Amino acid sequence: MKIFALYNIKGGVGKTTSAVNLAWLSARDGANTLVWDLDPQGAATYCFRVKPKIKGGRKGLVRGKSDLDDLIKGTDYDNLDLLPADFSYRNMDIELSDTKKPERRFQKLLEPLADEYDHIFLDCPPGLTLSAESVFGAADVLLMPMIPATLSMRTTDQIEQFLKQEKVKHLQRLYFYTMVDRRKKLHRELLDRRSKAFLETIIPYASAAEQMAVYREPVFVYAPRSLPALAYEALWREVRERV
Amino acid sequence: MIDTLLAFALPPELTADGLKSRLAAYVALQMRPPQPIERIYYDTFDWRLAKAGLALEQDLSGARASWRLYELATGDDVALLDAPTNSPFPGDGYAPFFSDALPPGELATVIKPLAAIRALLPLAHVAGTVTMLRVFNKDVKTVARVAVEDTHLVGSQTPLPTVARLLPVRGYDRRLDEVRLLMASMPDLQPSPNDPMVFATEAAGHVPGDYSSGLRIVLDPAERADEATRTIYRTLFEAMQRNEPGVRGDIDSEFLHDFRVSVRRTRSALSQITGVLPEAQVEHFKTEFGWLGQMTGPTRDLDVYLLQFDDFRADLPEYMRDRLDPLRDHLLHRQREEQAGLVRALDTTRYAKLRREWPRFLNKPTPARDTPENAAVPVGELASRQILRAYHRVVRQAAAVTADSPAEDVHEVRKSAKKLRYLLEFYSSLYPAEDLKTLVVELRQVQDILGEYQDLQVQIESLEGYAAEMQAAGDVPAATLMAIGALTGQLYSRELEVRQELMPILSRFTRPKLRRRFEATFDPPPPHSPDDDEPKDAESQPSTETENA
Repeated sequence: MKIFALYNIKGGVGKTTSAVNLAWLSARDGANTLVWDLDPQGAATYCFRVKPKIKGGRKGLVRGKSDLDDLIKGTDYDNLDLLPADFSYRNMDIELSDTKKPERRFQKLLEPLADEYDHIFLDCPPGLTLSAESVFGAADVLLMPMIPATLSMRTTDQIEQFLKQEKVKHLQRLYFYTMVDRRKKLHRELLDRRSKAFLETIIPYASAAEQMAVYREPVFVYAPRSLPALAYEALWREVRERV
Repeated sequence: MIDTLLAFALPPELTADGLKSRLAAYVALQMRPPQPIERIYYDTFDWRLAKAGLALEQDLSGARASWRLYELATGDDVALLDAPTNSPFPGDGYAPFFSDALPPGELATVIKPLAAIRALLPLAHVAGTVTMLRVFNKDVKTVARVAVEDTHLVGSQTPLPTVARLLPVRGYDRRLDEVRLLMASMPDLQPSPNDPMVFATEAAGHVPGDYSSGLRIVLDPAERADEATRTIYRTLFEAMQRNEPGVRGDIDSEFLHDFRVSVRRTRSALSQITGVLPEAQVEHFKTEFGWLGQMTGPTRDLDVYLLQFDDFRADLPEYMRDRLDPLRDHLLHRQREEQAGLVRALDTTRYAKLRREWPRFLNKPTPARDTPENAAVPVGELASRQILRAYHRVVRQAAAVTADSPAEDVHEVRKSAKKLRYLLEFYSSLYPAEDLKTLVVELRQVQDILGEYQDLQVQIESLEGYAAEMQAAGDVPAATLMAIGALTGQLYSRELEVRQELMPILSRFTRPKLRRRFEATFDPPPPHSPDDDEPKDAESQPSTETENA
């Protein structure tokens, strides 16, 4: 089992779009795949047309009292399941701080799923929080989408510094640019200055990607030959080669 | 029942479209265009996969043939394998194949120990279309699927019933139940096997799990001995007939093994169950089944050597092992010859006559005049008498064996032990299973050691015979002859060891405590005629067969 965390400190950089589309590709290739929507806003859950859990806070989930198995929903696609968002995730940091070894908490929760799934994609909420730390503890690969902007570069430094400080060594880092507009000089310049942790593939800015929330389907379903579809296909191939 | 029912057979006039219209009155649905499907289901003749709760499906619907091993109860995948349809494995006319042919991987890892020496046979080959109906909710999220399968058996254009199969979507059990209840309430839909393998193989005339090489005969202790004896013979004859096509086709060596075991059991019964069916005919069939047993012997012997070949190799020092290769070639060549001879024997009028006359004899009522003396005796009574008699014979012979006894005396014990074992199998339904089990465990120890002793002797003799054959045919490397010599030497020293080991096992079987157990289980009522059961040991021809019973 490989666990991929789609994460960035910042919001609106394409985490959900990437999680949904990469998971779809993984499932299409025959791997049993799970998306865990950790963002209380539930964008991935919405894209898969599953209802988020609204009622009754799920304190039990983080404490491990609840069986993840019962919460998993099948999506419309073969080999692809979803652990839907839960509105109570907004309190996750508070709950985690009450548990022993919070940084190991997710790992413990995910262990029982190892038999069933080949790939798990964690769609993480933004922010450098306790839950982010717990995600880093559980994941094998940190997939970080970012928009080409000078400020974004600071983000990678922050993450690297944080991981160093927390002594997280096992985590493979793969960064990639999303919403790239090659007409912009800055975008082109930043692409040229990528470090080794960056993937070659870029996800171009395209309306097809934006429409995912309208169609509520992975881009491959409603626009299989669009630029983002081709780009995600290439990105997934590159990730498979690097991991 | 309703909780687990997931498949319904549709009446002939109801199409996928029709089912969709019916369901659409209650749930939101979308229909996808029909997709071609083609699948072949495999299992061994004795259903080793199904008995382990598994099914093996080859999906030929796409450009590549994918193999799927799944759990029958849940439909969950156990192992998957993609292989190009045109690869030599196995797509070659959907022929039977051995699990050794599977490429290394998870599929092979699970199947090999299960199938072992048995071939995987294509049991059903279905093709047609599947039309997927998607049941969705307010958010147009799929909450269940109904796969409508229109198929026929390949090679026959008669369509199979159209089956609507409910496919759950995880986490939407309640919606699945709604659709299930909806379909169950439609009076013209019939329950169909949930599993596609069960559906397809049943359509092809197989019943999953309906063959086992073990003997299962259910008798009533009060029924007449002639009726019960016929039941035993019929069961054995049925096993022979079921195995015959596999014997002729030499699909795997177990067909002939099981065929021979049935022949041997029949001969053993003919010689032991006396005074029950008309004597003259019994004598005739004894001769005929004796002939049949002989006809099948040489092929079986060669099968056994080929199956054991790797063990033979392992018995030799490593540098010698490859030198046995010409022996393997010779055995393979001889096996093909003998197999052809066996098929010729099965094509004779003599065999055809036996196959015709034997069931006719079994269906004939016992003559009212000159009724054989034991015909009307309750089988429970007769069985106990026969078993005890056979047991005492084993004990008598075993007690007489000393360290210096000739090998023939030891073989006599082996044959008697086997006869006793067969009686215990024929009549197992008449006695408490637990009591029999203990006695059979004791008996099996005797049989195992005596069988090994016999096998070693026969093997040495046969290997020397094959070496002579190879030499006569010329062209055999001296190193090979020496390797065979080294091998027989190994086997001979093992034979001497076994001869030492068998003494305490034989004497253990004669102990009084075990006799009391036998007598307690088969405590016979007073015999109605003191002279009727003198042992008639008719199985007198020397047994040169190697058995892996």
